[in-house]
Amino acid sequence: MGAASYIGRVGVLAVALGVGSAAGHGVAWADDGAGHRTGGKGGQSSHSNTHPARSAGPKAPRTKRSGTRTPAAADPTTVTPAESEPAAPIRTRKARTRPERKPVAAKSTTTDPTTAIQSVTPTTARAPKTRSTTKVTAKPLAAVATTAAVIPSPTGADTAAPPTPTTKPATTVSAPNPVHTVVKIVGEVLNWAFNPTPRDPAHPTLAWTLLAFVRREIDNLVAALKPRHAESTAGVAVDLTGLALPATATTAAAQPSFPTPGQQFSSSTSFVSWITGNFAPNDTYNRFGVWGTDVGTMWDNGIPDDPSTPINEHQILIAFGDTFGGANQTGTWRSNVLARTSDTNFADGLTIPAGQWLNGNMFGGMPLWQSNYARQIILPERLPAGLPTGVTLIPTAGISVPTPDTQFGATQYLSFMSVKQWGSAGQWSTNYSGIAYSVDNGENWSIAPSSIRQNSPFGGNKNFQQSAFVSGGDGYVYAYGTPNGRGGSAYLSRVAESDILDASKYEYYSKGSSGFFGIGAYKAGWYKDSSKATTVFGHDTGACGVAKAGNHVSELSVQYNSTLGKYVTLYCDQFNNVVMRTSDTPQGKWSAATVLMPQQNGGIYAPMLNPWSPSMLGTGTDLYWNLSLWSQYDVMLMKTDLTKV
Amino acid sequence: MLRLFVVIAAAAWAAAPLANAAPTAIGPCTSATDGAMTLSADGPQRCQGGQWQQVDQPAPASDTWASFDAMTLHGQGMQNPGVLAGQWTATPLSTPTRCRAEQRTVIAPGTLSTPMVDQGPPDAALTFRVLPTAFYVQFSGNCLWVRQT
Repeated sequence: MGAASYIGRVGVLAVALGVGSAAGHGVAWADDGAGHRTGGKGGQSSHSNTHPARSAGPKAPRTKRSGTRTPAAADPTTVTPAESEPAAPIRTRKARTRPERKPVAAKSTTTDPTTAIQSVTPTTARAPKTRSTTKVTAKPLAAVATTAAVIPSPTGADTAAPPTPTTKPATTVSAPNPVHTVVKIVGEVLNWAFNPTPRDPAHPTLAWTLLAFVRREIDNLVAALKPRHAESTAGVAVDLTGLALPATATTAAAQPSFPTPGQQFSSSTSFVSWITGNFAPNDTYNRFGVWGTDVGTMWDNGIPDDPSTPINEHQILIAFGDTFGGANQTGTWRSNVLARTSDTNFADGLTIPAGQWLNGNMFGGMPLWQSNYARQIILPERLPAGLPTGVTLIPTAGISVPTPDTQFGATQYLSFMSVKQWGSAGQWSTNYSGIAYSVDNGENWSIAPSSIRQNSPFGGNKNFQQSAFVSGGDGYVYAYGTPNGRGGSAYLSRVAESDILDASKYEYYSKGSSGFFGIGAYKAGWYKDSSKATTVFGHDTGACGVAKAGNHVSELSVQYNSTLGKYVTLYCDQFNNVVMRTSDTPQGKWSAATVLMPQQNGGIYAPMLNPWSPSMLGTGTDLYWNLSLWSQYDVMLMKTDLTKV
Repeated sequence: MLRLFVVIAAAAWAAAPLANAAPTAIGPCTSATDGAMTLSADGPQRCQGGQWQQVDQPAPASDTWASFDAMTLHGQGMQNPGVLAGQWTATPLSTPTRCRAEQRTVIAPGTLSTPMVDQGPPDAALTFRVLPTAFYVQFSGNCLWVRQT
């Protein structure tokens, strides 16, 4: 049943709010749950007559089957047999570095990083650079029109023409949340009543006065009922200033009962706050149409702050997987979305700022399809010709590489997997992995054909279907890989930064082989042949080994931790524990696994390291990371005190 | 404050029909449903020893499900599927009832097909296929759903 069915009652609600003129005109609007609006008479119920594929809730049955099957394709990949001289991957790192960016020149076209990247010769050390830690809150999130945004339509057509708001993909699965529906409808009514163009940012004073009154009243009520909750929402009210009425619903949304704020999961690790969800602190539903999502792999965008602009361009980018506009994986569906933040204080959670819509700014909270609806960033239409799309395209790792000739001086790279089919919990098969890139801070993404790694039984590409990127500080990007699903272990490759999009340029780490009675033996080192890659961690054998924590690697992340002076990896093991290992070098030897958080009912997965954790920057001992909870289907922020591990 | 009261009361009233649309109570766990899973408002349950028992999430895929009302499960087009692709047979658990399955498949990441419906005659069995790219399957009727392995 669509929300349009409740137009009549909402019409009465509109009268109660003192905006009866809306009903008096005989027209009210309701979101039918699929991004379309259905008109109805005020004060009367009406049912939508939209196409079954676009209407909410149970659809008019189609008795004729017209299913489409995604073709499976797994072309064998030729493996380059050439080998390189084993190099000693010794790393010395003092501090993370950032390129100086020249004043931004207005550009409306993107530059292909495969040609824009300056030649980078791998070296054994990189000149120390310092990181800007300017907080985003130091700058108001004002709309800044610096360049013309290039916004792809859902159909993926490349265009530099002024973007046009597009209809979001209509993939509603069930009825929308009733409270949200009511609030949203009232918002539309209020906007209609007080503003001739509902999406116009310039709201009349009268409307804002009324909205402020309603929010203040709700705040007062919540404060009286639950002071702690009121405190948290007060902060949100400040953060969300400037948003339209739906933000008011933030005060009414209750956070999940699990985990509780500050809940401790081990002596070292505790829950901090939610990052996504239809509740405080970020209320990604009302602001971005993100009720539920997962993964949340994070990286530094490598773009320094431009002091002349009011927004902080130096950000963390956060890539999410399958994303839904309704509860329990219902509502509109996107395969992936992206969030951006300049927040550096994670003790109180991670704040995602407001979106920037149609003003050319590419540093808003999320790339958008509508003013309050995040868009899918890796589009199937952008895949190289001939590749199957699979059932979804899931980001697994991101990294930024300096590209001085591009718009912002850095290119974002995002590894993703094309899922062929999901299986029982922890099992799935992939068609291939690939790398998408963006030169405009994640606003628009292209996919490099040369980066595709088919999931073939031949060669070693099957071990690099999911990734974790880390900069070695030596001109190389180190790319860890795991096979599809959660039953594999971790492998390692590396590539010069400038060649990151070319799978044929990678080298693979092998522990060496003694061969067959010495025949065919080779030493530990880096080889061009991907089939020579050996596991670097997560592959214990024997009766005792398989029972050890840390065996099997799923959805890992790896980053360099300045406080420890070591590389750190987090992943979930065969027991679904979140475990941590450390190493002096990317290839190891890695330490034994330490359990940071035991498995939880509800299903935890994808622990993704936060690159701006104090311990990562060398300014403290706290390690922050994202974690997905299946039962809630949202991403939360966790904290580990490294002194207690 | 008066306006706030009116807002809350009106909102609760307006939302009432959707609240009533929540899943109804599940049926009894009997020998006919022994070993089967079902989906209640509290999450997945398994019929064991004459009682429905809560199953930890993410619940494993099951080849036997019992539906007592509308019950929506993921197919293999979405992670942690409740039902796997293949031939399924639905048998009425009580009369009168009508077993019905509605599925939508993935056309491309982010895009679903229109619903495809398989519906049996009243009080009779239904055989149909869950497609490999089914994103979700909505079962309805008081029926026992078994995958042919």
